[in-house]
Amino acid sequence: MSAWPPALAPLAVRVRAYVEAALADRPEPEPFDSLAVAIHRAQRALDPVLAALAEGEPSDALGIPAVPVALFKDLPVGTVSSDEDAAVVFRTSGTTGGGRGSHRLRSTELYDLGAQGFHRRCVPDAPREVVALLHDPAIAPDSSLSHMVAGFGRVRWALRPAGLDHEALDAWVREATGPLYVAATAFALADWLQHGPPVLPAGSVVMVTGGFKGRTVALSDEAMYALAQERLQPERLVTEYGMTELSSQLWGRPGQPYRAPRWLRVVAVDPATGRPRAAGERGQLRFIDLCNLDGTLVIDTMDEGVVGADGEVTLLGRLEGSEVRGCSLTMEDVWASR
Amino acid sequence: MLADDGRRVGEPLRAAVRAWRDAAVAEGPPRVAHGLSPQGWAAVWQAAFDALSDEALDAAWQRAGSPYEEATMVVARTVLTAPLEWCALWWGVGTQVRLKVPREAGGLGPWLEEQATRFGLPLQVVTDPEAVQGPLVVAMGRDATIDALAEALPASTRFVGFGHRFSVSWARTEAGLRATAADVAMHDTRGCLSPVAVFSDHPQAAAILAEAMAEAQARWPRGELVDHELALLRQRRALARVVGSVAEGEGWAVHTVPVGRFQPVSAPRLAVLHPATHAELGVALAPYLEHLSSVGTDSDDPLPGRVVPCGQLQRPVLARQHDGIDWVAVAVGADRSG
Repeated sequence: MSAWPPALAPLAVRVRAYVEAALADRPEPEPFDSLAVAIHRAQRALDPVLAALAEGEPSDALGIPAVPVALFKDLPVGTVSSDEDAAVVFRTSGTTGGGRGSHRLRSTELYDLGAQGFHRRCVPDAPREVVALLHDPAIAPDSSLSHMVAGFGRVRWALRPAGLDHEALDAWVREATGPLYVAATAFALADWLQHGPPVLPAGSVVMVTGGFKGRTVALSDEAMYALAQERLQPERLVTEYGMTELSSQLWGRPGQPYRAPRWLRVVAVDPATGRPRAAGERGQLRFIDLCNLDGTLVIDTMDEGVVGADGEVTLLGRLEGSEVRGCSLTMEDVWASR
Repeated sequence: MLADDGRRVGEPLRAAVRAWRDAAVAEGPPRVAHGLSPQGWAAVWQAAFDALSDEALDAAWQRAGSPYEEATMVVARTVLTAPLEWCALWWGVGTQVRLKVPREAGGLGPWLEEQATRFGLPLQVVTDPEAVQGPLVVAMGRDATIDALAEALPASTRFVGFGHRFSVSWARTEAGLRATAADVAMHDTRGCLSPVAVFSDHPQAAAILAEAMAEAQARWPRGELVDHELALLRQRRALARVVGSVAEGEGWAVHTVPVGRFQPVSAPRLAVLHPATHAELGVALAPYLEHLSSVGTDSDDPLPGRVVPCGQLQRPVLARQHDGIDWVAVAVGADRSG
């Protein structure tokens, strides 16, 4: 029996077919835009937030209204109206202030199909022995990152409520009999690197995701990658870009653009108007994620990037001026004081 | 008149301050990076010097107790005209002023340095953090910066810090709402005295505010916004469309939003209107009182923070409490025994 209601169940089948075709390098079973518009119509009927933002009938994916990512903190965005109706609820970390946003899913089927499939494609032959500098999903079931990494193999979790368990981490590396897959946020990896970790076994892979927003300690990406290469000596270092509010991820290598799967379209838009900019121009990043059937299809981030003609994404960081102008209060100030 | 160490004190210095003020008003604002339109910057400039009337300056200087020989002011990148009134008072009581400005964005620092030389006023502008020292240090900036300075300075230094704050309006009449629009428009809503929200129980508040915001735009056009601000405006607009209503024109917007969704954070030229009773205003502000600077009002209702008439939020008089501190007493050493 489908996890989805009648309005979404046929769309779930179409999305699954689209993702499977993309993963198998087959032609899409239908155009991206027609599937996106069909999903939008169904979501609009189920999501009052999206309905309030809608203006007319879109003819393609770019005409679908984008939901600003911050709205997830203010409103119940998506087609699942309450936590009780969701099989899984992923929540944002709250590091950018203003509370935590929720992404409710009736099923993780599409999420897992896309996330695991695209990971295998971008990081082929990845070791199945995983050391995660993340919370165990058993204690953090709302972490979408932990959920994704749990599917990478046999995972040992090194992040405790009190912080990173350096002793356990070091022991796991020293006792390893084969290559390891180290999955880490930038912040946790920087923490481990500064404690002098042992060199990883030959053939190991290090995956880094996220930045240092909301943290008091920060390393530049370049400095951290160099330090990771020097201290851990992995065979491969890969980068991941994901968001709790999305169901799909982008993958890359240090210093190189990110690749998005075919079912995730990335567009750089004019931050003033929301209108798409030409390929190669910098703009506010917008994601159109076909796997976001339970959430919302189109999301505007507060990140800046360049999307090439080939769809590859160069992430430039937060939008210009995210450091406050003027002496008025910021949401970060408010939350920092609580 | 000269002190033993050669510093000019007394009436000659005060006359120099008045001459500097008169020249600044007559010659108009200097070209510095501020993000405001030329008309907006001129209005801010005029308001800053209106506060430095002969009567106000004399009243402040007459309070002089045991002035500091030297004082250091740390001015964050986000602070624009605040150094003017501090310098005026310090100079008039013979205090040698050291202004520490950011290396990459000196604000009014270079202009003040030039003016000090021109009028013989004691000022040194520095960018080196090591120069932040002496018997009195005053700082303005983010709470985290203020906390870090408070920790770093020796006990022998008197430290007075002003973190980021927010202000609101409680306007019950048409005249009050119209005056509030000017408060919102000035500084393009970026200052700590800019009302981040307008609370009102007037039945036509939205229409009145919209008309007044359009008039303010015609008088002082909004300046240039950076990408983050543009995206923030679209984000706030989306929220208002879902939970309330939006009225907008070129360079201004009025969002009518339920009082339960009050956020103490501003966006440029955005008047967020919360239809509310006085009791509801109190409930909305209660969680944020520690960050509240001022309330503009046209009523006699009891209100927290510094209370001023609508339209006067951005025109602070010299003799006032600044975030609860009698700043004039600090500046002229009135609260200090010799």
